[in-house]
Amino acid sequence: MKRTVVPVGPFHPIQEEPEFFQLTVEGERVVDADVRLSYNHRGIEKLCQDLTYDQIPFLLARICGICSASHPMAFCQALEDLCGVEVPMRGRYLRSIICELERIHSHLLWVGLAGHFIGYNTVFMWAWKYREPVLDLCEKFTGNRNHYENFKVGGCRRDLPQEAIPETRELVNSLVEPVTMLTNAVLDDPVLHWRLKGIGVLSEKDAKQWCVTGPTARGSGVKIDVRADEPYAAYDLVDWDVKCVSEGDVFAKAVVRLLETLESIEIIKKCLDQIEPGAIETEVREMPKGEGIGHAEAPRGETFHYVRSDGTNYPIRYKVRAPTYMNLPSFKSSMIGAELADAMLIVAAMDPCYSCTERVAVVEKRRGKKNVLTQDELLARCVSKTEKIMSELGRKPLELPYE
Amino acid sequence: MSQEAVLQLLRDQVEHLVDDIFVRNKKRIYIDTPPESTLEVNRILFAELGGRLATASGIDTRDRIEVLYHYCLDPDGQVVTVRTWGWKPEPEIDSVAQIFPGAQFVEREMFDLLGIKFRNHPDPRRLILADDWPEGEYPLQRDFPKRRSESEYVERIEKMVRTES
Amino acid sequence: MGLKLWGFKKSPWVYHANVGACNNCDIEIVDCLTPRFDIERFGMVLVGTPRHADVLLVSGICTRQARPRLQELYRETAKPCAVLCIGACACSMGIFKDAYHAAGPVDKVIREVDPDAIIAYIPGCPPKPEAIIAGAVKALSTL
Repeated sequence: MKRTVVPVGPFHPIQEEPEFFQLTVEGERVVDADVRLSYNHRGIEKLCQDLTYDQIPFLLARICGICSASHPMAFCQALEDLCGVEVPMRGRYLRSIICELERIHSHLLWVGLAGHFIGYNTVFMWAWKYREPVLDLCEKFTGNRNHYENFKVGGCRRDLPQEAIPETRELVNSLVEPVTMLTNAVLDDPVLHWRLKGIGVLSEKDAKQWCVTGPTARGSGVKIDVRADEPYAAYDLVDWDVKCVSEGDVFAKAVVRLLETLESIEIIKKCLDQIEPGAIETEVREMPKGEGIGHAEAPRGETFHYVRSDGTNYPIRYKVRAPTYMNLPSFKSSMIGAELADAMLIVAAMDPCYSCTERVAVVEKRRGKKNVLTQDELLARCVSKTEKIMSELGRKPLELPYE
Repeated sequence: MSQEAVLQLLRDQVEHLVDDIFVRNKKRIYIDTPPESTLEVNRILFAELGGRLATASGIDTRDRIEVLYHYCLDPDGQVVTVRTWGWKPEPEIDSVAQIFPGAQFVEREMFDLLGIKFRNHPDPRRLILADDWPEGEYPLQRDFPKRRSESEYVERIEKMVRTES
Repeated sequence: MGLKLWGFKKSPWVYHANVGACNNCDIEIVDCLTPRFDIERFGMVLVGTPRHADVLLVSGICTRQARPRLQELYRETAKPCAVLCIGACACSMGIFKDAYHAAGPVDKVIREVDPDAIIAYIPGCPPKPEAIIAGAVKALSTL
């Protein structure tokens, strides 16, 4: 059968980051997949060698727009591992609150994008509408909707005023109902079951071979979560559960993310109940010689940072590894054999953040005729498959209450 | 597994292959492994101890390029780091990607940025630098200038790109 | 003013390209479509190909790898077109100005192709959606 190479990228309207996928297809089935990134590589590790430890979190927050609390969090973990300092209690609770707020708005963003990919544009508008109050709250505490800049070695930069606590509690309470409704809608809608189940399956064995992390792993039955395995911030001070599903397909990953959003809301509420007035930071004046390793659970998986210090103000080496870097190559296992209409969905299910990844380049070999499809056409294929399933089942599109 | 149990397993299985097992604190262990044993030690950590490769860091020190493979032993949060190295001026070590595919990308990246070759890597292509980045320039090496605005660097790189294109 | 310019100002179609950004500006751009800000009521539509676009929204420092692609994109966009540099990275590379993989801020890269290109700058890290809308309106009203 004739093999065709389908390039996807590097720029397209809904997948915001540039990446260049090269899918080799036979008919409608994907038989090989390659990806070239490098479009986002900004050389952050080299820049870190020229910045002091106070300046580095500002740079690290800008590795990625959505994991902008997780990278500085892992940074703090690495340096606190290096110098052995203890963070005061209030600082730990504040860190957890901000990390969980980030997780909520990141997962809502993903839900919206996934909805758009399969043609449920109402879900897209609705999920992003519910993100806005979370971003407003972050802006109130930290000064910015996204790059919070609230973490430093030894604690936090800015405190949460006591009067803001009831407001935060009210906000997260107001999110419970819409997220629960969305979770139930996804779990009950037969169109989504037909559309998403069995697509892009990553088996548990493959998940371990590719060393994936985050919801990509937890959707394949690998129960790992840095917050539970090596607790940081306040995750060992509150009760919460790791959500894990074993099927490994796109549906499983969606379920994991939705359940995690609900769990994040619970964690924030418990942190708000337990937080008490006090210091938010321990001052750190010097960095000893040595090495430090820190990891944190970003919405996409584990971020891992390594620092080597020679006792001066500047690191000799600062290594950053973002979660998508380990999750992305696993598409070789999950995409091979899938239909072309599902290719975008399988990539989106890993919730890739190429800005974090900033790399992965593959030079494609030309095999057979090159058939160029625009992004609109690929998206249209994805959506038309959903419509086909809907008409087969005799169903209307997912209806949501709209205020 | 507690740290004592991990250390016991390491002493039984790898102590004869490595130079030193250093316990930094309750959750961090560093194993200094000479290049000839790196494949076996990595295999033991991945297959026998069930470690998950978190990432690998490469560092250019004065006379060698060190490669640190970081394994997370998840249920207990231990991070075991295997430190190995390749001697300059032509640093080379065995590729761990032969054992499991999760190491492929990070080794390709280390070759791009540091110039250390990985023997028997299944897919040794350029990963994160641009198509027109000149060969032989490794940005994370010590003598690569830190600031792009340094005119010597700009002239050198731009000249190489212009003559090649 | 001619029909083309009138159409351009009344209902600009936008195409978004990320040439090496952290993605935050891109999320704020897509946020403009969502119910709170809703640029569609102004007639602004996000299109899937630069050939239909009047306005190019560019975010990110232009990395070495993305540079030829950005120039190609600009050539393909239907003229007249305006380029909006969204965010500190696109305006001046910001904190990444010393990065080895950067190929210059967006305006330098585009002016290599077209020295008379219409370029507007919307600073911020990230600029809020209100700022993006205000900047776009300001840029279009000066035409």
